Amino acid sequence: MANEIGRRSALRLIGTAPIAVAFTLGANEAAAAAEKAATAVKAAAAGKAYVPKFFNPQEWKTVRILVDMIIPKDERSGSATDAGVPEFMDYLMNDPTDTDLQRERRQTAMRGGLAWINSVCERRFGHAFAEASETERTAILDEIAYSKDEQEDEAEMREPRDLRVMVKHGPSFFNSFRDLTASGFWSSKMGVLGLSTE
Amino acid sequence: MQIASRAKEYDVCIVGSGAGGGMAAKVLAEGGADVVLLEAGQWWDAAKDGAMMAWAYDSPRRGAGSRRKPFGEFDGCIGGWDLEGEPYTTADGQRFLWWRARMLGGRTNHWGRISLRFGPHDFKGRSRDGLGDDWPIGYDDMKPYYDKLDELVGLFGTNEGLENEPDGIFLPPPAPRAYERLVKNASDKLKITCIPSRLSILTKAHNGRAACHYCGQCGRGCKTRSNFSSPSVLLPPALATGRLKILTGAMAREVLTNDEGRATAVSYVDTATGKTQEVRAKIVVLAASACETARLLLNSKSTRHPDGLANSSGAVGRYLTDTTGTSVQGHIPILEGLPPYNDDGAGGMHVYMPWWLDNRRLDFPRGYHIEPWGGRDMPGYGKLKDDYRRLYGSIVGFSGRGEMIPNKDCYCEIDPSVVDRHGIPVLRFHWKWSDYELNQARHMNETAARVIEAMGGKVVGRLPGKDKDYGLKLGGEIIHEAGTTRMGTSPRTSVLNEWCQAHDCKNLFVADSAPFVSNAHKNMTWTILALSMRTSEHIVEERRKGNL
Repeated sequence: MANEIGRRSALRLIGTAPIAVAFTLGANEAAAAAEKAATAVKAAAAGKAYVPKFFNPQEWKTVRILVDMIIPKDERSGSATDAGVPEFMDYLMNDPTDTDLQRERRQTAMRGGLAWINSVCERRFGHAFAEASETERTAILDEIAYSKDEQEDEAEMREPRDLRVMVKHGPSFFNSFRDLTASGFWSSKMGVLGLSTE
Repeated sequence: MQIASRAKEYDVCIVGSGAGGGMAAKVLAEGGADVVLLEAGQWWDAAKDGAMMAWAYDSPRRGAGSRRKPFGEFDGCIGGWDLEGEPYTTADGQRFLWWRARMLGGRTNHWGRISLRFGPHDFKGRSRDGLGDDWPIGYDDMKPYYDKLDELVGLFGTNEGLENEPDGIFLPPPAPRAYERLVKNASDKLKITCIPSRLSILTKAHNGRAACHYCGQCGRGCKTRSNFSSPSVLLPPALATGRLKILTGAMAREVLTNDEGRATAVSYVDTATGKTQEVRAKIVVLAASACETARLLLNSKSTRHPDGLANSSGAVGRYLTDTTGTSVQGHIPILEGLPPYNDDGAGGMHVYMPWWLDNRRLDFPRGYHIEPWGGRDMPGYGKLKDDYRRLYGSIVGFSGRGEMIPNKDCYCEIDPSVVDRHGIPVLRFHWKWSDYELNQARHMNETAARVIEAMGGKVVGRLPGKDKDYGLKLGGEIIHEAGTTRMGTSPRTSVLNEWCQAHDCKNLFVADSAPFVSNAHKNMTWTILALSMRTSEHIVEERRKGNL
């Protein structure tokens, strides 16, 4: 699915602001943070399962599926879950230096977006996204994964066809989630090395 | 509230440790004065506290920005447009953003190091087009100080003999990067001047500081002190004299004056304890940044100075300007899918486009320059797998930075009802762009689009239209505020004389960008530095003569 995303869409990803508005970040304290990251990596190496602090088990499953649909493993590097992207997202949802308002907004956008995908999946296929088949998952993402500009979105909003009436919520969540996935991947050691060593 | 008055009277009290304050501290301490410097923020040393070599993955947040570090976790400036406990307000329906740094060295820790001299036209705008006002000094008055500054600090660039882009004393410039060569070729085709940039980053060892190693992370604070910042270049020699005392965590509240109206002391809040303290001095030099300096003067009311210190003209806080700014980016297919190549270099552009047109044939009066950017930066935020790889490095952007004309609708004043956490009344901003700036922004966008097309590329997204103010950034967003205590020959229309000395208070000087009469599109730091040097040398001389 990642490879099908058009060049124009990818361009818009690179071209837009550093990170999607819905998940805008806040915080510093690099040293403490780095230590935390190192601990997480060590735990992963020791085969201990990471326990998410923000995501519930259903959300955690959904996140892991989504990030790997966006950045799959290929011949040059591992997938988004291999690079620790879900753990990165979990961290950001409770970024210690955010204000309460920022944290609440970000958490609501993430939790609500995942719930939106599940509600659409339930209505169409009768089960949650994590229980859906690969074909079903791809069908849903096909609806929301193609970034369009505002005018096109608005034109589409005026056509009351099935999902399309609410299609704007889908793309706006997916765009944010995709940016966050890509940010997490390319800023990881795996992502950086994959750019520089070939 | 307890007021602890310190017995000692210093020769000079400087408020602010950035470009202007750092230079004043150096010149004055070396000139024999006993100096105390007040800095509202914390001590910070790039060599110890900077994150120059950190990778994004060294932090689980991957370097993302925050309230205290809007330009990213590893950025070298502690500060921002929104500081906890330090609000400011804006007039109804108007917007202005006010950046405050709260650290030793202020904004010099992360600035772009774009080190441009104002040219002969820039000091005499009114004489040329009837708008704004002339400075009471001209380029010839400033040239010796720019020359000394070049030699002291070091910067790279090339002498081009351009009329209003004065030559300097330059270290050799770094070679242009791949995308910059494309920008240069496209500019040549379009007859847009494109020359090596002028950045205060050392390409050769200079005055005991090492040459740049091209990590490209200047904004994080340079551990080898190869670029300019006040704490790396100006404060060490000032401290070495033994005559400079730096007080950090000292937020200036008010300049105190005596019955004759002379400045006698600066009252400040010790931010650690919240207590108000006082430091006495024979001379006060304000270099707190244009708006903070204006705030301090407006909050310094006395019988002799009922409208605020040095404000008999009513000009304090007026004539506030920022640089105009827009940004357009293009996708350049020829840069796609390239093998990894070396795009390193100094932290910033290696080429730029200075103003190249004649405003008499245009519908806006003053110039702008363009800062191109692009290349294979350290991956971080905002960068699907093959697409990303192919497109990596193929986006090139153009930031236009132009001169606005001071206007009566842009100023700051004391908000009558709001105070900060220290109880200091805060500023209220008023801001309206005129058509001059809007037309200029439109021209910036159109120029960027032409260069992108000449590079064989396409603009990403659409150029913003009139409904979006042509993408013009908000006032204060470019962080080049100036003009709030402008210089002039008449005490009726200006705050300071040609030596940046208050008309109303002879032992009060200003050494940041507040004295600027106009705000040329040439990033102001080099002029703050040169002007502060000139002012400070004047103070040293006047002290020697016993006049101060």
